[in-house]
Amino acid sequence: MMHDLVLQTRDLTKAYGDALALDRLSLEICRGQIMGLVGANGAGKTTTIRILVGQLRPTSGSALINGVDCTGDAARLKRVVGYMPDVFGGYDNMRVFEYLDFFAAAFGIPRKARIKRIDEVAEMTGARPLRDCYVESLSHGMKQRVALARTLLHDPELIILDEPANGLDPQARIEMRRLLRDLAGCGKTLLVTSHILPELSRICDVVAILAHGKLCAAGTLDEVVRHVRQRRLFEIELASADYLDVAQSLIIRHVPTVADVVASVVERTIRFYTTEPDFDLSDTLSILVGAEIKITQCREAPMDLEEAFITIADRRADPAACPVPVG
Amino acid sequence: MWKAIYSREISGVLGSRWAWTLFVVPLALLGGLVISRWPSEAEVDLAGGRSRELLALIGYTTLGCVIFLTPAFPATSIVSERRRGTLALLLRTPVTRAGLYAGKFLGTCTCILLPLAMSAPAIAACYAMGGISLTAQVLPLYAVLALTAFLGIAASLWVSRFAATPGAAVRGAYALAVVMAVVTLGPGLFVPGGSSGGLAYVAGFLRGISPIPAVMEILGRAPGGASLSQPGSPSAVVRFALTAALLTGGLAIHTALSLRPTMFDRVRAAGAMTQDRGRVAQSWRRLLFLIDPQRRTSAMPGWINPVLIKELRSRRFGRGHWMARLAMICAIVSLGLTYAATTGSIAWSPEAVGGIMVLLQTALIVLLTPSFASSLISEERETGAWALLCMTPLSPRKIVAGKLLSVAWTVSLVLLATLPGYAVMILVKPVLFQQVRDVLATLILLALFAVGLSAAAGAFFRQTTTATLVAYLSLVSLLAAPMVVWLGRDAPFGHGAVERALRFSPLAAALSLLEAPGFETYDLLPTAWWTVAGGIVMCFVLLCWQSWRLMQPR
Repeated sequence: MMHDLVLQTRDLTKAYGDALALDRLSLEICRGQIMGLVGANGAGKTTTIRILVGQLRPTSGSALINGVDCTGDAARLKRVVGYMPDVFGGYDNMRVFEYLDFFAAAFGIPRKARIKRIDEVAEMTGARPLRDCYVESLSHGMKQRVALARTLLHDPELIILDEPANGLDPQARIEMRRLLRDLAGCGKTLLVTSHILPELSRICDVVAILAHGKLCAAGTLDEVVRHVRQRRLFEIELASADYLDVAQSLIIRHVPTVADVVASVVERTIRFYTTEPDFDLSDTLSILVGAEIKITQCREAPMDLEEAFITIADRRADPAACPVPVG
Repeated sequence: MWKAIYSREISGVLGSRWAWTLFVVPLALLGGLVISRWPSEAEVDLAGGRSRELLALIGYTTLGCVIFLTPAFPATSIVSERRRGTLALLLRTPVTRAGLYAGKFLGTCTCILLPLAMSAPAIAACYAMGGISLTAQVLPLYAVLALTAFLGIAASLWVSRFAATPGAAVRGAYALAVVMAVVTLGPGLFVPGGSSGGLAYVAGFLRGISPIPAVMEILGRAPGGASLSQPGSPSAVVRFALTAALLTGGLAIHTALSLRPTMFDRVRAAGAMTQDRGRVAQSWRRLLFLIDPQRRTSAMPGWINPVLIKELRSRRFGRGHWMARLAMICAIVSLGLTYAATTGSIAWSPEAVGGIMVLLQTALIVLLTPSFASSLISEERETGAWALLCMTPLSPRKIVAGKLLSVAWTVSLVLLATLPGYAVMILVKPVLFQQVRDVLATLILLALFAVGLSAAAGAFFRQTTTATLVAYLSLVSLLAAPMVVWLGRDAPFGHGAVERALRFSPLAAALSLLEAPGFETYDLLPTAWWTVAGGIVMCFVLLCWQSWRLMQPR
């Protein structure tokens, strides 16, 4: 439904002279979704974010956040977007409460409501014990909490987080993940960039992969992986290593476009690849069972976001590679 | 090992475009002065008056350049390395503390002595014109200039060692430079000639820190005809040489000794908040502090500009307890000035005392204003906070207004501190009322100009250090340039040319209003007011435009 769309970009393009930083980017995020924006350095992530928060003017295309034009209505845009950049942007000699109080006052929140709101966001982000600390004396993880609290002060519809898990210890990462999921649960929409891809894949509902300013893949993690994947890896574990030779020959004979069939005696496992997108493992299993081979386990090895990203990056590096479909 | 640090310091400075600009501009200025006075007719000036006048002009210009260029290079030398982490690496190498300091000191010395050497052709031209002694004037002048540079470098490196940020280091180094060169002359001006005792001794020692009396003694010419040397006291050159050597050595040893790995073990604890202490402790703290720095602040009121409060809170001296201390210091200074004005008005004349007060006040405005105003926007840009500020609904007008008000509040305290002193002058000589009123108006204009120029100049730079540096140099140059022309009054500049130049100087306008020695004959008002007012408007328009531009999407 259209009213559920919080972020919508159409052919968003940003050019610096002849160089294209962003090439006809079209994205959509629905309310309550967390989108992970993935890309190598210089892929166009920061350019996208800076256009969305109104700091850059696109060369062409449009971007709407909750119906507000990112390029035209700066005053309304500031109210609907919360942006946490990768730099903290602190002030010396200020305590955390004073820091949050300033930003809340800058958003015009009345004094009483401001005190309440600061308490709420500090509680939500775990920054409450830091209230009396000087901002410059905080550790990186603490600064991330305060920065997130600052981003949430004006209760924005879309929260854009640039590398939120950067520099956090494992415990803080788990907490951050939980917090972002909680925010999405409250109906907030999040756009998150990160280089820690396993982290992103755990929290994101949808991902978008950028390379050289172009959107290479977008959709749920499963959709992206399915589109990205060209070689699928299957593993079949047998009850006994005695069946390995028979099973291997049957697989080579019946599986279409099969490649790299490897049998491991120690693991009693056969691994093989196929580039056939519609390959169904159950057909092969029926053949093996029909040949009275006992199977204890079988599965298609999952591809994670990291692999998908590397696959895309490799293809982009190779000009002869076929284009990746966008979900 | 120190040679590696020495080479890096030199290449670091000489590789910068800014450094070469700073070197070339004084050279061009001095060359222009020589050309303007080079004899064009076939007459010989046997008395050498013309060359002496020119030497005086070149000497004061070079002194001004040395005083105000010196802090630019060493001020950030240590603090920048500390923040980048390279100082910690250096301290873990076999290089000794003395070697580290020597490399930095000598590297900066080479960079400063280079522009000093560039004045040699101009002075050689003066010498060629005749009437100048090499041993009595040229060599002592260079010795004093070199000692001034050494003292400035040692002081700037000392500030750099203890400053928290490069911006603070530049501010501190310039503040110290102005204090050492100008403010140290203040107490001596209020001590009557021939007096003895503790006050006279302290005033004499402080006067010895400033190179100005020494240069005046060598060049045989005092600005305004005033004499800064005391009868019966040792030579100003000898006194300065001894004091400068002593201070340079002391500062160098202290800085070198403090360069140790433990310097990084500094933790800033939040400390216990007063509200969390017992009732007795709370009462004691309230009594002792008046404004308790450890007291939890409440949310800012909704009617006030949040940027103003933020600026005051994020500035160490903008905090309530520091503001109270600053107000107290200003009150004490005010009382001192009142006393000095009373005694001085009787011993000398209200005009002379007024002139001194204007000079001191101008020095304070020049000292304080760029340090507060230049980093208003550049610091936010440097730390990344500007992007966050742009994400709030605050308008550029509100941001600029909040920032400027925070500076205006501090500067106005400085101006208010001298009001009782002027009141005494009016009591001693009631006819001075109108003049004092006009002087105050001129000083307010000067303060506004200083705020506007510093803020506007600083807004164009991303780095606080550069912004502060440019603000200081712009303000000092704009105030000093007409005074350099005034120093060359009658020769090489005629009365008309000097008057035209002085119309750009609010300082000269204030001095002429008080009929201070050397300024009686110039009619500068109201043209000077209009000129300064125009400058103020231009600065504020430029500042607003740049702030607005920085907030626009690129």
